[in-house]
Amino acid sequence: MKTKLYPLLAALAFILICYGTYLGLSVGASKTTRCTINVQSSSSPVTLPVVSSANFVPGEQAHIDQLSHLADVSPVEESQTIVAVPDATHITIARLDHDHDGTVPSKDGDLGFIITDWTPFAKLWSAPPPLEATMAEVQRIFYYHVPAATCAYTLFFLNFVASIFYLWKRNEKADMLAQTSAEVGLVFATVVLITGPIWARYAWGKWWVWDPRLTTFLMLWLLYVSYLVLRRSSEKGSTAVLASALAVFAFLDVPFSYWANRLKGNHPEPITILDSRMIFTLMVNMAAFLVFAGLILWFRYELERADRRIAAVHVLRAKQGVVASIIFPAMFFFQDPEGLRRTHFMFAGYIAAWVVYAVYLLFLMGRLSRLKKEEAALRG
Amino acid sequence: MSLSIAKLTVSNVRKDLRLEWRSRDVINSMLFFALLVVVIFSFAFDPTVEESRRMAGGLIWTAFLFSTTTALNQSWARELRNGVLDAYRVAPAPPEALFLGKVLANFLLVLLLECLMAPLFVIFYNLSSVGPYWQLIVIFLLGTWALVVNGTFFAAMSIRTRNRELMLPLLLLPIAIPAVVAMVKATSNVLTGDASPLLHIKFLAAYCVVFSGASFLLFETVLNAE
Repeated sequence: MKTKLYPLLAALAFILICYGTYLGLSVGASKTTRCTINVQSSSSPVTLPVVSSANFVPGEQAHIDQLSHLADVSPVEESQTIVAVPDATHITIARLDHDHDGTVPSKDGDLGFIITDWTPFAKLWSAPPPLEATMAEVQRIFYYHVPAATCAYTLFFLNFVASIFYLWKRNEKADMLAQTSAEVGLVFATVVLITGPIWARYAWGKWWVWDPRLTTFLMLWLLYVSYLVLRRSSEKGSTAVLASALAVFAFLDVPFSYWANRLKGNHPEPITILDSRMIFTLMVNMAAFLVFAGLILWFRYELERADRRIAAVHVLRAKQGVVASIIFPAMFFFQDPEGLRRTHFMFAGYIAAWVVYAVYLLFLMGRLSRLKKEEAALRG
Repeated sequence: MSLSIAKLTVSNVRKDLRLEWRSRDVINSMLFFALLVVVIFSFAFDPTVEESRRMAGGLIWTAFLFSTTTALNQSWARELRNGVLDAYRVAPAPPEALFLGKVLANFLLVLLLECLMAPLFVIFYNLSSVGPYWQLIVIFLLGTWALVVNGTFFAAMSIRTRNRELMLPLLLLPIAIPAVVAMVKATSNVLTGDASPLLHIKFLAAYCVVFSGASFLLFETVLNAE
């Protein structure tokens, strides 16, 4: 990569990944509590009895009743300023626009409606997310799993667009982009399929369920494996066209697969996000992995370009910016884990993701050194 | 002298069926394969009547899916010999006719297989349907079409690859997963009478329409890929 942009992006990816992993692995205090009485709306300050008002900060916004999505209760979520925290079991808020009934269970099954102190944006940068109620540490695999899934979907969509463009214009760059985005997308899809079962084994007790989303994703993975096998084993002249046709079919097939499996039955999504810090951590990790994906895609694209040029017996200097291609998050934080088994799952999830990325990057390194040797042989 | 697509299609269908009838290669291998699957599964599970109603959908379609794959490979392999496929590519005839002819011929062959195998399934698994029989016929027609149209397309794609026997199932099975899910569920629903298969049937119909369209549109590109 002759440009200065690549090392800059690599540095950005490294920083974001370290920051995101730090947030993902460190534990913040819980700022969520419950109120179990019936309260009426009021335009003057109201003091609510809660389970614990620890970590509630006056001046911040309180999100009240976030999970009121029971079948016959309409959502009455509201956000009010916390005026004061008089003692350990009370919170005073500025006003209440709706009635809230704390004598019935919320959607998560526990009694009372939920009040969360919504950490303001300025404080989010140094505020690690709290432990999730049911899954504690293991839930943090989510911060690697969801960004990887987003990257995979984005790359597969890019593959579809590039394939269509190739079929229309027969542009070789489009074909190269199609191949590289399929390959890198498959790496991220593999990470999803590994971190997901690790998470599921703890959260649901089973490694795998045949519900719509998982089945569709597995099918997408299989489709792209078949795409890469087709690229490898077809005749050189016809590869691009055949692969593009398959990419179109793959794209058409995904919504059908999702609908087909909805007919089979549903499995509930176990994640409930109740804290702004969780959303922030997710966004940081999302940005980190999108930049990382773009980086690997770029590197792979340059590799592919060099590969094709050498294959055409073209002597070209493939100056590779090997700087910062291998990125590992260097910061791990231990916060007193309760339940060693849970942290085993969480670390297994994080380490598995990085093992997959590292193996793929080593594979790319291997190809790079082979290309360099070939080029030297052609020159000499 | 341009022949209409209908006439070309009919002549292609007749050619394929005639060739097949003379050698009976494909039909024999399909029958044998399906029979093998039926017998082995009945050793593996020894179902009661109730169980077999629930399992039969999956068993039937597994057997037909694998038989269809063997049939499709052989049908395109026939075209490669003596440069017939290249002759098609240079001929002025529209390639859609070739594709439609192949699809129809394979469709008829697989339907023949299903007619022969259905009594065997009933016998080996003591099957009897709780739901109406006509729904089963619709499901079989739609499901077979879904498998055959995609299969013919991917067989054409994979015929010039290095490991063509592997490529077809590798390409076809992931694409066909939604259709297979719908077929199996619909068949089970009809056999057990538990639920209405109409939603699945509509889904299969939508799948057939979309993928037939995609196959027809892309066949010429794939045929001329060089």
